Amino acid sequence: VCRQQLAPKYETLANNFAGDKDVVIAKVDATEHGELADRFGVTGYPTLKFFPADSKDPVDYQGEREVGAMTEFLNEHAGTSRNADGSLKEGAGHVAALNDIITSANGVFDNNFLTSITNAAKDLTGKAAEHGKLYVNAASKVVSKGVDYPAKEIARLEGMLKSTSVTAEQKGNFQLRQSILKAFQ
Amino acid sequence: VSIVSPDGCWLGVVIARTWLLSGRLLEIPSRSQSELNSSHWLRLLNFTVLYVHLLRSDIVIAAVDATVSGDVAKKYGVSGYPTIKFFPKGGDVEKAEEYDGGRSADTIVSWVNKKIGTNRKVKSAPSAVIALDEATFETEALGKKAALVEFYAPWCGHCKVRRNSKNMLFVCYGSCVSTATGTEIRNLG
Repeated sequence: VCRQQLAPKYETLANNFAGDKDVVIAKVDATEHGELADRFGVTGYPTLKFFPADSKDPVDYQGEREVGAMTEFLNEHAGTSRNADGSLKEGAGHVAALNDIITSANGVFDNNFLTSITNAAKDLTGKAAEHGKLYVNAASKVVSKGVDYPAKEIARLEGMLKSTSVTAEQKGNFQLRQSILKAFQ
Repeated sequence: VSIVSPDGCWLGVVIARTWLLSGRLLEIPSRSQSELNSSHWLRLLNFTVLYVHLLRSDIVIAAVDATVSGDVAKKYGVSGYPTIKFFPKGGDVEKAEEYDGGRSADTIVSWVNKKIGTNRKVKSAPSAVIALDEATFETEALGKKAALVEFYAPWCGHCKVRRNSKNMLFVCYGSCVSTATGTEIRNLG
């Protein structure tokens, strides 16, 4: 596959992952930066290499050079959860322990429920802890605004996602909030 | 001379406008901008952008299909494709010069700027793909984030291309392969 065919697909991939702040989609002009190409043993163009987080040892990407295949590769190796069209997969950002609390609340979202979510979120670490904060925010809104809140908020975020002025970072955040709000429905 | 041939190899020439006006142009037909823009070869070399940006200055960007006009290629000593030649104004063929720099629109435009004293800049479309150099590579690709990195050669297309770029010999066929360093040019055609 030559670069002309790959470039637009790669651009789409980069757009789709622009909201994932832990993943970088990048390119190196090997004719300008030959040292980098040599250092990583690049002998053909275009070559795709994956550098895991905190690692200097790349993995060759040898899959299909299609948005779908590259997306699946990143989901598997970079911990993302995206579909080929850039949307988040069903259940992205969900935390099982918090989902259990929502299920057992059985539609009664009161202050006890909010306390349970808040306490459980405190025990989370890493990525789950970030998602836990979004659960707590959503839970407090559900308690104060009622059970219709998730549907209304999902629709409001959907509208904002369509805006051209939304940044990649905001987009990623809105999508994640939508996914987590679905856990409350 | 045909400009549009999806899989042909092309001889590229950059010609000073005065040549065109003086009627001393090579065997290059007049073509509309849209035809030039739709040409495979022009896209291959990012020439769409180059063409747009240099169109109104004192330069003409033109293309010759060397498979059709082999005599033109021969006349100017062209042996690999694509080859870019610069013909300064005045019409002196002896002063024709091979362009041997990078194949990105940026690089070509800045070279032309120096040659003819223009100051054109290439406006590139905003890209979500982050372009890395030696310094940013350390922080972006080798840091805390996971990174997918494409190593590419800007001029690499699926046209058979052989090019001696800097000290490396690049041979393109299907995908592009750089062979061992050296000056020998092998024809895989």
